[in-house]
Amino acid sequence: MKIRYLVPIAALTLFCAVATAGLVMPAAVTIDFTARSAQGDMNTARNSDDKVTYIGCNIANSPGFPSGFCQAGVGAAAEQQINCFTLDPAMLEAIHGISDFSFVRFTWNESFECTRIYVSTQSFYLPDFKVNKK
Amino acid sequence: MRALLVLGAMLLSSLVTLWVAPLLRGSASSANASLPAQHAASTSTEVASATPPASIAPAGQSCLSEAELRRVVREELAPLIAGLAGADGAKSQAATARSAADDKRQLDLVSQQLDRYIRDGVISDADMASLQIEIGKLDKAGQREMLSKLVGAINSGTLHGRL
Repeated sequence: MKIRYLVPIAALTLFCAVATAGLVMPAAVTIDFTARSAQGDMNTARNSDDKVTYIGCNIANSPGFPSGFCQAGVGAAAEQQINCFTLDPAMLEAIHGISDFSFVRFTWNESFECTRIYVSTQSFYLPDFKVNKK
Repeated sequence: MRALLVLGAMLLSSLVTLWVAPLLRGSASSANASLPAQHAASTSTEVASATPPASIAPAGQSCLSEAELRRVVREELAPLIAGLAGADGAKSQAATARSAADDKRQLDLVSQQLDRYIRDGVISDADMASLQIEIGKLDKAGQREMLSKLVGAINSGTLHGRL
């Protein structure tokens, strides 16, 4: 009788161990207006409980005028959102490196020009697809 | 630059005609001694048409060496080059001044356009794309200035639009 219960429990435990394998380090979106810095990973932002959180960058490739923008928001109010622009080729290159589940951090100056764009693409930012399928 | 080359070619051609011809005449004269009379007369006629003025290469004087010829060409071309360079410089300055004025006018136009969107409080995606194309036509400083104004307006909440 005991074995009858123990086997499914053991199997379930093993399955859960496999399903949760791997480091997970979600980074919620935060904006520090004093330090002029914003960061967060796109997966966590997209799956936030609210409908206002976001982060990311884009490139506008007009002929002869490659420009980029990074933006983040943690609320609907203007003072809860930030945008910065860049014309810097190295930063545009960094924006090109952003993928769907990247972590993004950017800083800006008083003219709202991006001063640094940091991109990190790591396994621990990926969503747990197995859990999502359940 | 093309004008300079043409002038140089013309001058070189003249110099060759003036100074090299006597050389040819000299050698031709010596060669003519062994040629039949009618052929020698024909050759002599061709060279005679290019006989230099006496003041440049008096008959009987030795002709210029290659180094001397080069020096003369350089000296003759120097004022022409200087004149052309001066003209180019003046043109360049005028073009720069005109370009700066155009840049300023274009910057003002884009700034006014952006002010209109800010007054309206909203900019559509299509208008945003058009505006960015216009910003792209500015010089680098103008691009920075307008992008800063655009992003600043969005950040402050006075303009709603998608970058």
